[in-house]
Amino acid sequence: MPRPLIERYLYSLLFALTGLFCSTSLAAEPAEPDVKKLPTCAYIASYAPGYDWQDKLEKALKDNLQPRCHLKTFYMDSKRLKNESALNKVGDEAKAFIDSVNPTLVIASDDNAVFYVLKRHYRNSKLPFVFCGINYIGGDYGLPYRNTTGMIESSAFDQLFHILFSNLPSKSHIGFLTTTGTTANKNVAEFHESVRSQNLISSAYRAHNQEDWRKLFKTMQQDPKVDFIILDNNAAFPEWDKNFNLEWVKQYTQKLTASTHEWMMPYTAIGLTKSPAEQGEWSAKASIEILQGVPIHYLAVVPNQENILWKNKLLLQNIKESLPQELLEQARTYPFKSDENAPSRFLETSMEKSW
Amino acid sequence: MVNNFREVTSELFKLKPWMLVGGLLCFLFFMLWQLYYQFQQAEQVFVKQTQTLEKSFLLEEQRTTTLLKALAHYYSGQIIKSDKDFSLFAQSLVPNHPFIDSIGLAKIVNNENKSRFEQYQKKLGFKSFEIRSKRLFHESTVNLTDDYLAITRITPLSPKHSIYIGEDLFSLNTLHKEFFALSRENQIGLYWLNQSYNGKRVVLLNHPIYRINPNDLNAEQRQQEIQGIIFLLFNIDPLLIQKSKNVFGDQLSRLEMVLERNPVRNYWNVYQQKNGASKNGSYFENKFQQLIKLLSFKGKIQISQFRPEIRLVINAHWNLKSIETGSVLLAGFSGLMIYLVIILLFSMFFGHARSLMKMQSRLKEILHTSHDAVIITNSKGIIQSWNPRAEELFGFQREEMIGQSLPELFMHLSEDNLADPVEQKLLMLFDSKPSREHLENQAKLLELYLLNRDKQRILIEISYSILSVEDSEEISLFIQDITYQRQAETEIKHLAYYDSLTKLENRVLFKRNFEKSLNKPNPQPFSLFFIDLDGFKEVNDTLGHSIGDELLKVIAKRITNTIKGAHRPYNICRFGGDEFIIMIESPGEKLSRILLERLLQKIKRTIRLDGNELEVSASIGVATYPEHGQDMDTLLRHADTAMYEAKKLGKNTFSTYQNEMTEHLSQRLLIEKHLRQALKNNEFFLVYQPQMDLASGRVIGVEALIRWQSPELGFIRPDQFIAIAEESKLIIEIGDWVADTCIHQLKEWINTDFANLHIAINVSSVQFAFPGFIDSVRHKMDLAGLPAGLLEIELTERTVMDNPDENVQRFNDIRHQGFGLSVDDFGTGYSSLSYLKLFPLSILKIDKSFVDGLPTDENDISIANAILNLAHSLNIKVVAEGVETIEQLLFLKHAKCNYAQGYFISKPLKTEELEIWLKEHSDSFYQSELFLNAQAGLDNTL
Repeated sequence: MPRPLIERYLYSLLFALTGLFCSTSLAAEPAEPDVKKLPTCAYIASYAPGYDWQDKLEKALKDNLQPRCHLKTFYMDSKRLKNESALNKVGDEAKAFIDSVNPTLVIASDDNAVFYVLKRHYRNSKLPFVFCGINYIGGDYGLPYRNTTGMIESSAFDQLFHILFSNLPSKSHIGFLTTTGTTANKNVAEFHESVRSQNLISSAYRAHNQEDWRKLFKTMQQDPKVDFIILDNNAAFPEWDKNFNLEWVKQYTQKLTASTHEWMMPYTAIGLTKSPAEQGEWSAKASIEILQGVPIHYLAVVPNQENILWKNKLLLQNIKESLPQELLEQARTYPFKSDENAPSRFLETSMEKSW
Repeated sequence: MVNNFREVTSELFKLKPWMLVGGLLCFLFFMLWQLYYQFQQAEQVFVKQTQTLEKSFLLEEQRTTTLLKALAHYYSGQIIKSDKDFSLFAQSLVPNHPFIDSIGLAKIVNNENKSRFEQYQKKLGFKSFEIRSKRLFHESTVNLTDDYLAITRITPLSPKHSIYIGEDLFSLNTLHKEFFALSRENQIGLYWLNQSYNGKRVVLLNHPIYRINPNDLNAEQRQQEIQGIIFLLFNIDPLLIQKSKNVFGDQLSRLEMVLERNPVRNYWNVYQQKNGASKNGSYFENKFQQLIKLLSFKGKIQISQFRPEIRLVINAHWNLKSIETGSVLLAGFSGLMIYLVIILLFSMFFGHARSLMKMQSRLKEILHTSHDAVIITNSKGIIQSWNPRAEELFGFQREEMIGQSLPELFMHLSEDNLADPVEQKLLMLFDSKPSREHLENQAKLLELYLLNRDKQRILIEISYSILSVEDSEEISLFIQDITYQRQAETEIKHLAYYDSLTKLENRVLFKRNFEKSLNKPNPQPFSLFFIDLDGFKEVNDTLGHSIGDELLKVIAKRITNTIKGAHRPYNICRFGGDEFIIMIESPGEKLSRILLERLLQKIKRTIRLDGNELEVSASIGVATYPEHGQDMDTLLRHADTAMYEAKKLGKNTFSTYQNEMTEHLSQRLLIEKHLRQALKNNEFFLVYQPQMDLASGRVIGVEALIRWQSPELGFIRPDQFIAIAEESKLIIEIGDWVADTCIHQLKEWINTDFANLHIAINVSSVQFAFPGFIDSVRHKMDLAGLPAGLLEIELTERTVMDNPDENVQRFNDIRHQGFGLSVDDFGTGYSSLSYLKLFPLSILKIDKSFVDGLPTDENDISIANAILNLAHSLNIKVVAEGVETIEQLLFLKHAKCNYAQGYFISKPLKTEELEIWLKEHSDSFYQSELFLNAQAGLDNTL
């Protein structure tokens, strides 16, 4: 055999042995935790980060789920979208996202995600869905499907009405101030359901902008028929002038005001709020159960359990006929942020009765 | 005993394999025993722990049921039931009860209102609510009835627990069966369930709830008003494990539940500790731990009052850490020590037993082979042991003597001399205890004569010992036949004190008797006769020692007989070879003399022995006590001195010691002392006395005579020192000096007028007997170049006749070598004429004593003539010594005497004087003025 050929063989053998050694050495090293081995969970959020409800819900979800699941999130940012087609489009994008990540299960938070993604694309499919943040009463989604479970937002109105009217039994009329949009619609429906179930007298007002909202607020405060005022979500008004509105509310509050949204507490005297974290935590834990093999239809769809009674001392001092002190002592004092008490410019707006 | 103990212990400490194995086994046994003990202690602790655990479980159940009852009471007590309020209330309880999985509420729903109920629940938010059995439990079956027990609330409400929402609990067959009965009694039901989807075990505790307070209702009413149940789901396994672990810790190895009343006993494994030893331990440690884990405890306890048929089986292994290693080791070492002590005791016991057996065997052997007769009796003298030697000694066999009375035997064997005190003493041994105690203090050796069976008299020596054996006494007699021993002792004593040859006393006995006499209070005067035989040596030398011995025996007998006749106390001792000493009470001077003379006479009598007629005499020295000495040595010395004096007196006589003798002896010792230095100090010198040929008057030679001039002692005569020199053998050196001086003188005379003169030298018998003497002289003469004929050897008659047979040869040698040989002092001794003719003598010298009487004494004349005739007949020349007068000279000349010497001719002269004298008388003495004057005087006298 010619000498160069022998050398070539020898070198080849040397490289082969070196390679074999390297490969066995690498194989011998302890394997790092393989994130790829975690199941993939897709999270379809109706809103975008920055929205308090969304942030708290998402945080609770991730805190409880992420150690068990590789979570991939799609934000629909639906509050930014003004029309149906835009919502459908983002629903399609979410589906495309889900298809692309091929998740073991999907978590869908809040109504738009359920409506534009789950209901439209995955109803009774094989892909498990855990939903949360659904105002069930207001929606017509046909839930639960065979492939779903989750937590719905139970109406806090019943309990809130019970607190108000049981402590101030002479009152009988309750006003409701809301905005526009899907959520607002669902909230109005839920309000009416509660009013009906408790056989109460009510008036509901829909503001189209914040000026309109201020006018209606003032009107309702000054309307002698209205005993209590429920302030709904203001999320529909991105241009919300917080300081001005706070000053407004402070100036015109004379009747007991209440809300079921925590972020509305600066504007109301009391509040009975739902917890976004409860929704996120439930979704995470339900997902874990599913990942552990519990059949999804075993897991019951349950209403949220946590409601918090808040009090706004600043506004309560303006109200003549308030709740008993014993009850208020059980309520949590709303912790005002530094800018929420700052004086703002008073804006006079018109009020319009929606219907 | 001490030695025995040492033997045993030394034997013990010689380690043997079985001892090591035994020690190890004992060590292990006690260790295991201690382990077993600790195990039992641990088991008792385990039993207590199981009881504690049982109480703990029952208490937990009681707490839980109390809680359940409280919840049920709370719910039933509400007028308007609020499931939500109940849930909120129950929710706060769960965290405080870690083993409560959940608290729930289930409502009875019949088929008719099932749908409405479901809708209601959906309206409350439980949108998926549906009454059905999801088969959450293995125990779930199909509920074929129209009634449902639907779970409407579960707390905590979590996704995990949400699965219970809507579950129909009537699908649990047992629960369904018991439900209404329990409802009637408002009692708690308890069910063990296995969750189908995760395999966990839970206990469902339920309590009925009613529309109104059940306490106000009877059973029927309760059945009417039943609304559902409050239930608890209990995580039973963690509870069992944790509580068990709290009690048993790491010891817990296994928990099982057993349902005892089931048709088939059903075991549920609750907990099992992961088996396998620690990876860190060694193989043997792991195996050991596994072995220890086999030592486990098992207990069965009740854990529920509601379901007593369900029991918990607890398996706990023994906790190694609880083992008190120190106690185990201590027990092991204690076992080892006990083993060693037992071994030591056994070894001592067996060693002692072996030792006793050996001792018994030895004693038996000793008894059997003893040279003493050993007889053992009881205190009454009844014989119990009779050894073979006793059989031999007394002639009685053991068989016939055992049981016999020893005192009677002794009386039988005694010579009927019962009055003998020794025999009395012996019989006292068997008398009574006080008698024996009395004997204890006395000598334990008894000696007496007895007769044996054959009536032979034997002298026996009996020693005895009295031994107390328990309460009785045993008397051991050790009897020795000393008949022959006594005889031997007598003989030995005789040999030690008496001369074996003559049977007279020897020196030892004599000395003892002598001292005994001296040590008497008033010692009587006595005399010592020191007898030395004269001529005994010659007898011994010539006739041999046997004749000499016989001679001594005869002499001894004669001495004894003679002394006996004196009738005085005496002692006779053979003191040395031919020396005898007699010590006799002083007989007085006269009788002493008679006795001595008789002794001399008796000794001198001819003795015939073996054909020889022998005649010896004795020289006796006498010393008396206390006159001549106060002690034995002085007296003996003085008697010896006197004996020498008698010898000097011519022998065959006696001499009584006188003080002068001691002085003489002192003088002699002084001479001997200085004699040794005289040669070195050149104190000797020679004088020469001319010998004249009587016929011609010419000098033919000289006789060399030695003289000693001591610086300290002055001039010493030859007769004073020659004998001393001979006795001390100094004569050999002196003789050599004389020979050397004479040879030197002869050499000086060569080539002078005196060259033909010979010198006669006197040679002592001692010197002559010295081997090589003649050869030495011959060698010196040859060296000097002198002819041997110039030297004449003079020997005394006694020397010549001392050993005649041997001397013949030696004389021939002397003569053959050319030396002259003369006999000095001839006639004074007793020459055997038969020998004389054999001797090659050249000259005889007539002693001066025979010359002195010449020419008047007839005897001397006769002797002189006889000697001359004899010598001439044998062709021997004669020299007359001591010629001091001309008459003597002339007589001798006339009698044909060949030569003469004496003061008449010349006194002995020193060399210088001699040479002058010789020159003066070179022609003939007869021409000398001296001779001529003497002859003239003689003529005038005539």
